[in-house]
Amino acid sequence: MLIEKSTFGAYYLFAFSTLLCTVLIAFFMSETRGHSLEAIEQRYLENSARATGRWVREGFRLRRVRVAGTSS
Amino acid sequence: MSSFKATFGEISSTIHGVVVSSILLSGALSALVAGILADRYGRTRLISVGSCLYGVGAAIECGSTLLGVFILGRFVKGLGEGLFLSAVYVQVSEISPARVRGTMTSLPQFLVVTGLVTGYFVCYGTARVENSSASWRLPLALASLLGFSFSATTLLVPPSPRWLLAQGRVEEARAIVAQLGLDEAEQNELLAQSDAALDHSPDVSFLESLRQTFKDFGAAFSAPFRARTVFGCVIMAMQQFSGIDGVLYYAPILFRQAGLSSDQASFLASGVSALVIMATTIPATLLADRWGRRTSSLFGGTMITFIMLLMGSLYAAGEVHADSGAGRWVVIVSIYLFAIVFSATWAIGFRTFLVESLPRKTRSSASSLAQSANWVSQQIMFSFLLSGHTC
Repeated sequence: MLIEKSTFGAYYLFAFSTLLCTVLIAFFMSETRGHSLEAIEQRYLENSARATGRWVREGFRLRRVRVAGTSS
Repeated sequence: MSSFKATFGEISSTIHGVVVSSILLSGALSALVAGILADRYGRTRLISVGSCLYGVGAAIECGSTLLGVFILGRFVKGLGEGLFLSAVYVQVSEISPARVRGTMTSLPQFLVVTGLVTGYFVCYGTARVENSSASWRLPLALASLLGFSFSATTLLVPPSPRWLLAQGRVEEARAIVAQLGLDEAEQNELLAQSDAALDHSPDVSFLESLRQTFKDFGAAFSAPFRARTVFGCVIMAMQQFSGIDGVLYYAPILFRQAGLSSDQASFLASGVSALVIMATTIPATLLADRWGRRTSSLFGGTMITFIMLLMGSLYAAGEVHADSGAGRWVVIVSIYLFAIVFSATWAIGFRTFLVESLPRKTRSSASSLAQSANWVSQQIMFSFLLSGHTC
């Protein structure tokens, strides 16, 4: 058993995957507290309508934003 | 355990692996289609059928005299669990007012943990029944009974108004919305979607309904919804890779390594950690709407990373000895702290966010896919921890 044989390997694995997931959360998880399910869905819809262009930082959240009329 | 061996004989570690996996893999399998079925036949109906199946599975296990039958029982139990588990969260999220939805969606997790503690102490008690298979049959009989009663009581729960709207049953939805205690703005937002019904017609041929099922399956992976489906599956899988079930499963061994003497002391240590988890889940559930899902997930992730690094480093530096030094106490405290942080943050926040982030069209299908991802990664974790002799 991994945990029994060489304990630190397992813990470092857990630490690494938790860190990875935390970074993903920082990028992709928006706050949903207090909004109705319909309002949340609407917000996603508006975000994705704008999302084709380049990455823009907004608070702690990265988002792709379309830049109208430019080719960059 | 000795009476279990008396019935089934000595069990090798391979068979042990099969026994454990039989419930995870069958659950992961039925969860693949559970969400789509819940869209078609209703969340409550699927919960009822799934928990009934769970009851049947537990009854098969309880009555088995052959190991093969015991494993079959677990397989059936898993199929049932795969059907109902994610539907429970979707149903609860869909019938709760927005201002308390976090608390409501965390309640099932609280009950899961309560079940964990009850199971622990029931088994602690029945393990002391000497020379009788009742010591392991009794807890299973109890599980079966609970499955059937859950199945029956679910029939009293009103269907989700959001599902009714998707079915085009506007009047029924309106009647239920009026009873749910939503504020006026939310009622209007909810009912405003009534024109966009799901394109299911109730009486189509079997082949046609099968084709439609695959189409619904595809919806979760089509353009605007894909990202949320994938993100949901990732966080639910990563929940396992934080090590929670691995650490809890091996907690007795870890505590013994850290210097606690007998098996019994270890068992109590695990029992106590189950109690600690339950005690943490109560305030975490009540306060779920006080702080955001995002805040809590980020805080939890940071803390867990730190705790795991600390434990790993103590072991790597050879600071943990069974008979001396402070290292072992740090490990024991860290395991408790990990259990506390995980149950207060990731255990409830991920699930709540998962259901909330999904749109009506894929809410049910994508969240059961994420449930499937969770079980698959639990299976991966388990086989990895059991067999990883090399690293």
